Amino acid sequence: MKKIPLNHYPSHQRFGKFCLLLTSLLLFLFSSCKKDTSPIIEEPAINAVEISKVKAWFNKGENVSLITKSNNWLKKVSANWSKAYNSTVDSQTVYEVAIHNPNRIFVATGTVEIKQIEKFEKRSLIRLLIFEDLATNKMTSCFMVMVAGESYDIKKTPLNDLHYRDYQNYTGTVDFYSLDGNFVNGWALEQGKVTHRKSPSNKNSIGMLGNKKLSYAPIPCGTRQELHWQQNCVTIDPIPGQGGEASTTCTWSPYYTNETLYCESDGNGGYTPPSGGGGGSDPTEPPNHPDSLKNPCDQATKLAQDAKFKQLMTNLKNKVTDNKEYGYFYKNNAAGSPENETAVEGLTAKEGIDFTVSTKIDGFMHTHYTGLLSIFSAADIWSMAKLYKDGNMVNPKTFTVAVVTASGTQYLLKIDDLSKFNTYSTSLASSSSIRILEQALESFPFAIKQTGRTPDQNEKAFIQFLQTSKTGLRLFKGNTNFTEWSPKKYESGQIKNNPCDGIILEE
Amino acid sequence: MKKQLIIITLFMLNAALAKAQDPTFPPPGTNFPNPSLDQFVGTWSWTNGSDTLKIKLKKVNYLDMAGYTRDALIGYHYYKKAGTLIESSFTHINSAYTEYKHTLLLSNTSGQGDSVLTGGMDDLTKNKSFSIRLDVNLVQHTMAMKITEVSGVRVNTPTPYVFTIPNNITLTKQ
Repeated sequence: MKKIPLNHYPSHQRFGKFCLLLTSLLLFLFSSCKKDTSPIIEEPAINAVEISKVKAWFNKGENVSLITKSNNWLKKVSANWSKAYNSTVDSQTVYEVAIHNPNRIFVATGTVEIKQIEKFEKRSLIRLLIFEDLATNKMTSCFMVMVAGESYDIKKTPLNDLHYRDYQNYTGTVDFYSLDGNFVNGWALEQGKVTHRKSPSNKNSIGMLGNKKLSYAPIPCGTRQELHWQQNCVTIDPIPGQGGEASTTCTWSPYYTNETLYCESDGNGGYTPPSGGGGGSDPTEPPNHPDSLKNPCDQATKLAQDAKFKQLMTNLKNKVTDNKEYGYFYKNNAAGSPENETAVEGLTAKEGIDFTVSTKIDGFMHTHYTGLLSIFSAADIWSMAKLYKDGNMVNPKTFTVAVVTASGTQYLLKIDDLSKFNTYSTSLASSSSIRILEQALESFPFAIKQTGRTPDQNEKAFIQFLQTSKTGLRLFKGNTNFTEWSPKKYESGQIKNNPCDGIILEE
Repeated sequence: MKKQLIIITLFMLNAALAKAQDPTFPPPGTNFPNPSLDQFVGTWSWTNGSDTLKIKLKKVNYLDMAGYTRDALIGYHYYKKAGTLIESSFTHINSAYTEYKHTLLLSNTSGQGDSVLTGGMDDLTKNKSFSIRLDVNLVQHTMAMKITEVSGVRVNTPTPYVFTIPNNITLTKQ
């Protein structure tokens, strides 16, 4: 097609083009200038599985009820999970999550000039921290509040670039608040080095306080008040019938005072949880037990860290070139790790593996040797459904089926929707249903087969089958040493990660 | 301008529709006809002395587990050993697919060629299902039958690789 320069079009067409370009430009500007006052923390990105796990833990009712307490000065903030960062500090993974801050809450350690209040706002940062103990997987959480000192150049090193115990050349304070808004501990830093330790003075109060001069005498110890500010906006709608436009008026006010005791000290600048843990795992269950992980992605992540599970899978991987299938079925110990596993094996050169269970189990794993399927078979799904319907699962919410194949693939299958899986299992109740299931998997368009199909094709088809058939099951793909299990979905012709956002399995 | 807006709208709609459709996996409700199955319809039998196995196949169009409708063969079988009837589903020979009284489900859609039927069959005596492969000779009107256990994990199922009906036999169309 011949290209026509813009000015060669008739005038009405030029006008149309101009409008189109203008609209595109405005749309672009609108989308790129949209205000977001959340701190930007983007590198390094946390993988979806990790963020899903942390989010599921954090969104427990216990944590939410602490934040939403009526006297919590932080009750109006919420986590912005799309902006997160993690690091390993000592024996903990530290997740730093930006916050949604609709009331533009900030903290100031000095007198605030109302005319320049936005400058003060920019010198304060609030971030949610979640700590995961690498040994026990126990999690705790707090808010970190930074207030830059007058001498600190936030343009040179923005507060967003600083991280928990990675304060670079920061001068100012770093305070830690429990989720219910109570000050726990804090530090004053000068050029990145701790100069003072901060502790509560128990003189906090809520209310509309004056913007008074704050006391500060930190040698060797002294107290200092910090004002917590917020913006409140009121919108007045026009009177019906009289025209005019709605008008919004915003006012800033200090609404909470926190007094802390400064004492000269050195220290690591870290969070010291109050005795009692400051919000650990569900007290009714051992923190490491999978029952406390009601999200299949969290459970898969835990399996990736479970030495025994990885060992059993490795044992099986070493046998995939034998011409018989091997496997284990097992129960978990109190910590949620497989124990007292029973080894099983199939017949030489015969597909399949048979075992009989007389008690409840927590999962089974097996091999597909050379020439067999690169993914789960119909019988694998059928057996999972049979164990469920026969009441042979210790806990369907945490039950795991695993396969490692000679095609170099390894997968987990877990229930992600108990209601759907219950219905699906009922449809597979008869022994003859296995042939219907097998037929569906082998037939077009899925065509999951041992020969003539690549592992990728089988994987894509298997995921699509799980989705289309409303099985209530989720596939996880493992890496070669079983240290990572990624939930998968099929969408728009591609296999994508499938985080378990919001999934809380309940009976 | 109006024309341009219409064109842009149509373009965006088309792009959205193109994104929604996946040629690899047609939407549920799609029908997969298979006229080639017609040639296998009928009764096939094997006799060895007083042992007899008969399989009657008929073509159906059924709704599968993934929401597709497709043509397939369902079958009923009748097995006599030493003149004694061991098991049979022939009494349900006029049943519909949805009654699930058939004891075979077969198709040639798995890419092994039109003359190879694969699927599953029920062992009524041992109360289990197994895999079956029928290599059909359309000239001689025979089919070689091979049965195996279903591949994969089999939990709490009867002794593997023991079947009620004979294995590795050839049936002839009647």
